[in-house]
Amino acid sequence: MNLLKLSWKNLLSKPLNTTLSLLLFGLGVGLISMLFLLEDQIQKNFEKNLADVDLVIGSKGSPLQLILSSMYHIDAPTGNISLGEIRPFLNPKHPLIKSALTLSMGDSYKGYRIVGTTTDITDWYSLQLAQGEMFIHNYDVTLGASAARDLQLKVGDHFKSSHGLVDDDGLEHDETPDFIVVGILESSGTIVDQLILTTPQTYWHVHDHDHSAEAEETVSSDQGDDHPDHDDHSDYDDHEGHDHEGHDHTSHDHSDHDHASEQEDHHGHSHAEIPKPLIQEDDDGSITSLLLQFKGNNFQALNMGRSINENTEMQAATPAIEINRLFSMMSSAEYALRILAMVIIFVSGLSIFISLYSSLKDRNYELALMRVMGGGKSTLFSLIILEGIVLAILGYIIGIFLSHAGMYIIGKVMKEDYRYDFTGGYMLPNEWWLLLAAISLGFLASMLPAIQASKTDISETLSRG
Amino acid sequence: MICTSQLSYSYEGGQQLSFADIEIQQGVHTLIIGASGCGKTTLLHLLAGLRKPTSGSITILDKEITAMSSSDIDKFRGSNMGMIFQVPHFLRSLDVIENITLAQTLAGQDAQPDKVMSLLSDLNLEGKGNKKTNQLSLGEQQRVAILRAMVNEPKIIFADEPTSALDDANTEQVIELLKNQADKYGATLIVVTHDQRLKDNFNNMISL
Repeated sequence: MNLLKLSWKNLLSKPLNTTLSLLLFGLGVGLISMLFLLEDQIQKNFEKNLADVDLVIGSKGSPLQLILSSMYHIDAPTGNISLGEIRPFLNPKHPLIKSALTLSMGDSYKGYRIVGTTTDITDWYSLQLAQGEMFIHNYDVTLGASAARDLQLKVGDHFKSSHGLVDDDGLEHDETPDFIVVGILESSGTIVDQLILTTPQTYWHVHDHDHSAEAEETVSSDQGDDHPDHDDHSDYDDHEGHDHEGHDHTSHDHSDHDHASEQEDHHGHSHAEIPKPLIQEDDDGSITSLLLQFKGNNFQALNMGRSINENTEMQAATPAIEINRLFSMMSSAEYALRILAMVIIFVSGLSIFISLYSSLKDRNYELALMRVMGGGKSTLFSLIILEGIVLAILGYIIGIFLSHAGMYIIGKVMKEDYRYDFTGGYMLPNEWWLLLAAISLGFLASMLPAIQASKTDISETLSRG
Repeated sequence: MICTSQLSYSYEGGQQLSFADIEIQQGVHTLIIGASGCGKTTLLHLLAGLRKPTSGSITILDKEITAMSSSDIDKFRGSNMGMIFQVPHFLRSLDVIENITLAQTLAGQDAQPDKVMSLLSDLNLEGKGNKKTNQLSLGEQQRVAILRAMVNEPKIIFADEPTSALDDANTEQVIELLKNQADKYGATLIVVTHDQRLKDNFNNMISL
């Protein structure tokens, strides 16, 4: 019968007190560890999707929304911008821009976002094909690993997209041709795992079909003319004047879905075409946003964002600034939660203290008895300290279990709502520090009762019987 | 074996007790008898090192315990003395065997549950080892307390009013048991009591 076992038996003999102390301690530790986990994983999720993006260009609006929707695919996309406006940035000879990636967004399939982009995306996110090939033709799609797994799609499968980012049958693009899965990517650990990739032109086709009145003209221009005068658009100012009011693809009127009569007209249209490079497309073609990597962070590059914001109808947002802003907003909420957790932990420490202290009265005789049997003052001191520390360690284990199980559940929910991977399956260094803190608290809470126990007047106690 | 000299003790209230010098030889079971309130229990606690005397010295087994540190006395008591009280007390969270093996570990020995089991059956307590002590009858509890006092094979057994709550028949039994067990382990039994019935059971008697 060693002291550890004895302290354990003593705790077991007061199940209500012990349970209360454990629950309080577990809640406090659980909350703190949950905060650690959330902070860590949000940060990791944000960091691994940075992809060296220096600047994001999109339509005017909230810069944070632009960043979140374009880089993390969590908020609603901002409005569209026309190809004419951004053509200079697509020029491979641009002196400041190393690489540019266009994104067309707004449609989804069963909640998974469909992104119209170019195959350059493989370089940005270091993507590898697991099966099949990258999208080449319009309506070809290449799936991220998680999207393919969760949607149970294989190479060769067909599906129809729906307008908007929620899974809603009513918004399905009924009259458009099917998307065809041509490839599936290896998991990259980035947001691309959750995406369905296709060509930017596919977006135009899908929405042409929904708005056939405008479509006639656009389709013919897509197919017919070569627009040789658009082949060399190095000068941005050349196109400032182009104002294609008549081709407004951004304002879709969904109350007007009566296009059944025109449906036949578009079956002859070949969807398997290989689209032209975007830089050769019409000025009125629209995309949602443009990601830029600079050649180096020189002064001109830094000024580019400001110049876009001041001189154009578009906005430019710097990921680092916006993400920092987001983190600072979150950190005040996190701070409040941390205070709450501290209060709970303090109360749980107090509950351990009270529980041990009040048990001393009942155990006075038992403690004296232990002295009679040869136990020293230090034995009694250690016994009570052990009880406090055992409570703290068990409470810690309960707390860690709660937070990691909670994280697992949050991970499931987050995956459904935001397509983000969260996991409860690992321990953070901070959580080991938390263990140390828990043990210290157990020690502190039991110190006074332990001193009291070691001072038990054995003779007096025994005489009283 | 036990030898006191000019022993006195002052209570906090100022009341002072002085004890005549005592000398007890090894193997001589001794009865210390006196009326209630004459300081019997105080003397017992002094002898067992549970209290420090105000003045005087106590020598037990050639060691002057009045000169020892508190933790040395605890160790000395754990391995050389067994104590039995009027009402048996145990650690409620432990079962019978655990209560007895606790006495072994607190005295710095290894816990020997097997040995304890066989000792229990010697005292007609077989099958009680895994019971909580409050599930035993008072008589059974008394025997467990005696076993606990003996388990470390001490040189001295102190018993404080072991019989004052018992009827004549049980008194006889408990005293015989104590003497038998003490003889078996080669211990000297020292009983402190006001119970006049015990006078006939002891050859050596000290009156306070």
